[in-house]
Amino acid sequence: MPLAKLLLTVASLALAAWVAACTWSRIVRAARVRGPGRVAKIGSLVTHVSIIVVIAGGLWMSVAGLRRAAPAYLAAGGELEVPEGGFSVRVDEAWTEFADSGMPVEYASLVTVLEDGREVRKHRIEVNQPLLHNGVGLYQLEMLPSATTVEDAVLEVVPMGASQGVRVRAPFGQEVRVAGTALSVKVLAFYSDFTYDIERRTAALKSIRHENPAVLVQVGEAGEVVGERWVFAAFPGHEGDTTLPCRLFLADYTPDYRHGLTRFEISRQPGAPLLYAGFVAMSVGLALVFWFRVPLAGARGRKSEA
Amino acid sequence: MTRVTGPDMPLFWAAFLFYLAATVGACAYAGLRSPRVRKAAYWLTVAGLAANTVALVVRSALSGHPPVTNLFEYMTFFAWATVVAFVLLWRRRGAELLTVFGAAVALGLMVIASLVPESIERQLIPALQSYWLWIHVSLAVLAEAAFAVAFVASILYLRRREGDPDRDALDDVAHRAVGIGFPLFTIGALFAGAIWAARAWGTPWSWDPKETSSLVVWLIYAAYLHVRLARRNRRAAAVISIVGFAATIFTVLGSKILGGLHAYA
Repeated sequence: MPLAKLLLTVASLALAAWVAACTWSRIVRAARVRGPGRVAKIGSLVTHVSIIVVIAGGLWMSVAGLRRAAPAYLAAGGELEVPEGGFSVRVDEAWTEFADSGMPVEYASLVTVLEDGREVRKHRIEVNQPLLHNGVGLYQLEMLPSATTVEDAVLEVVPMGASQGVRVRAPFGQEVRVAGTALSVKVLAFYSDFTYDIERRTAALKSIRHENPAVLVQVGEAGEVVGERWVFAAFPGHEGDTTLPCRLFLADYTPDYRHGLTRFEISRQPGAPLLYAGFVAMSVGLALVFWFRVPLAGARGRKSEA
Repeated sequence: MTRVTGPDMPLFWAAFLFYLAATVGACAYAGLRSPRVRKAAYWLTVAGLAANTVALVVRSALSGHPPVTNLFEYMTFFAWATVVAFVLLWRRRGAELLTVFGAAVALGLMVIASLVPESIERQLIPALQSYWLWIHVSLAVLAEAAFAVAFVASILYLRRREGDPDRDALDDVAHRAVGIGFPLFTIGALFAGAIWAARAWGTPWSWDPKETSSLVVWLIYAAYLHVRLARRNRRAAAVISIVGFAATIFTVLGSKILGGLHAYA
């Protein structure tokens, strides 16, 4: 495959060079001709050859270029190898910012570029601000909220024997007292997709999607920790086997977008300079064609108006 | 709150009503051929343009960015640019009917605008936070306004008989309009779009529905120029110009139906 790509690239470049050479000779001949429309004719030739250049640039890009999504989402501390560029990046921070209306207004990943384990540079990757390094670009592709933390959880705490519960908003990792009771709650952990690892006999994260969100809540009574329990949003009746002084329900939670999971797209565009050269040539060609128009029979061209 | 309902809306509706009245006047002129009716239709169009202009300025002041970030703003700007193009043709001999029908095209665009959400967003989504937005969209709108002129001129050209003194003028207007619109579309819609896409998405071309239909529009107008310039077949060129504008409208609205990377536009 690499050989086929190389051959196609060489063939498209050869075609572009051949057309350019032919056109150049025609431009030289057209320039020698006097009379109306001479410049427009040159412009027409430039425009047509630029189409070939644009196509060659596009072909080169599609054949020798690269575009692939990174294999995984990365949290802060995660690393991504970019073998095409001979470097790797470490995510230092990844976050989403929202407007008051709830619309996302910024997806950003602060990364450190590493070469042979050495820190080379830092860069903030945003949607219109890729990291370009060693001819390879890293683009902000997706951003998800954290799979292991939440901003806060809204818990319904129903003391044993009580008919009604009390709603408390518990920020992650902070102990919050339950009004009107001697109880307190603290969110210790969060899994966006909870599963139970039977072999290790422990809770585990199944995926980063919010398929089965659960929070581990520590319950205190009169200042003493009395126990902890996983509370599931999707299974409100799940009680577990603990003997806590209250029943707990996970009513809602605020996803943590300040510690997001970021995903990049890796891209290399080797034909871009040729493509942009084609764009410039076509823009010049079109300007010449339409500024120095060939007067047509019956039409009021610039010269006939003058 | 960043989302506000615009005080520009009364001005939008004023422009809408002026364009509607001007369109009625244009229809009356088409039947009566009274210079007074034509003048009335022209001044109604100018009044609509004034309201349209102020509405766009108010909206830009409120949002803090040019009015090109959603379909409502795009169509309102498109209508404005189209009317400006037609008003500039007012004194051109042979283009009398053309000028009065400009309001009809603007009215059609305003009708589409009135059917989509008009809320103002002060903050732009991350994908639109680039100076390329203004270059790409503004040039595309100006190009499409030129295509609208060519469209109306081509329809009127096809309705005129051979030997009609205005026929050549209409053909010339259509040709010149495409002569302005084609380079603007090439540079603004295609090149600026490709450069921006390469920066934002990592590739200049994704065969997104809007990209593909824009390429089709470009090919149609390239065919127009070849038929008009090389073959000098004006009748065929006029037909191609009409097809080209239909494709332009599909390109503008198509992403709402087909989705893709331009689905927010």
